[in-house]
Amino acid sequence: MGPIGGNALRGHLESLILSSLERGAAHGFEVWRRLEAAGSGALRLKEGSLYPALYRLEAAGLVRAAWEDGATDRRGPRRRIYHLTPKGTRRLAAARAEWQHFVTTIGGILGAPA
Amino acid sequence: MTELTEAVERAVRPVWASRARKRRMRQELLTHLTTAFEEERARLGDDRLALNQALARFGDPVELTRELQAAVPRWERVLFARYGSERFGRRFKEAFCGTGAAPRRDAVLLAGLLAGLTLAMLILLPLIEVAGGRDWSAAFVPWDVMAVLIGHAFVSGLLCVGYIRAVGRTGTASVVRAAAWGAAVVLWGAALVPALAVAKPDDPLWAGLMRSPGRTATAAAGSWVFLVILAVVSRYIDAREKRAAGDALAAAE
Repeated sequence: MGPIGGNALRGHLESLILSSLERGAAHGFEVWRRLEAAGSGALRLKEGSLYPALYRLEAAGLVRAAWEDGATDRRGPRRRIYHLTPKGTRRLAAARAEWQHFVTTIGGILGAPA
Repeated sequence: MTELTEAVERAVRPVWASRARKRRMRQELLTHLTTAFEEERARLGDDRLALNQALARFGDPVELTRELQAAVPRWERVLFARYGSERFGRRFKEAFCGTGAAPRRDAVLLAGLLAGLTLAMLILLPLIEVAGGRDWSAAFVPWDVMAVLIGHAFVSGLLCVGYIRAVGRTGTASVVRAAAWGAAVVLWGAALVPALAVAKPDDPLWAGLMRSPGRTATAAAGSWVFLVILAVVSRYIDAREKRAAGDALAAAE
């Protein structure tokens, strides 16, 4: 099977980000790393595209962002840490239910196990 | 590295947004790109290869600009638009009419904007008259007339969006569709006069228009001229966009 990218991925990117933030607050690079690990290298995501999606989620109140505390030991520029909000948790649950419904319906038509 | 900063700058600089928002975009994207570069350098052991790999992972800056722009609130896009820039026509259209991802919502937003502008004018003009010494009770637009005008502006906005979209398509069916939308715009425009006459029957302005079909016919002819101008402008902007896209493709090749 080829990699998953383009519109197929773009349509689910926001739900995937919410899912990765469910494991704990993270900065953009860490979110990408979690997605890569969870996708076992099959996701073909342009990394820059992650940030517009994060901004949309923040504007919708699904995630909250704050600059990293300046007192950390890490060198380099400050990072912005994203947290899942209660609204984001509810949206993630709804997205999971929608996905399950989609897989069950389409899987039934295609004859593939759901 | 300069190349990393340049890649981020190519993506962020053209975005129409506040300085604070762009500063944040720059900082986050540069942090990400630098981390990716360092990761690739540790893996490949060569700066040039690592740079190419990190930039490939980052994505096309032009595409990223579009995505970043779509994430900026609509009001901010309009407020921080770079008026007079090369791609002003397309970007202005996107800011007001949306990117086309949700056409119905975009149409409702545009119609809402038109209704809002009508409301602002109906409040502002009497205030100017009062400032000029006119009595408030004479200058004030009655609520029922205001409601008719705002509702009319909203529906007109929806009809105009339908017309512009129909004009933008090609083929015989689209000409018929554009003519149908255009006729709806004109008829709806003409319906304003009787609607106002019902809302405030004693007003001499529209009572006079109701008694003079010739003037109404002139106004309807004027509406058709307006629609033709709208079609020409819309097609001109579309043609410019297509030419610019063709030029960009040729440059990329």
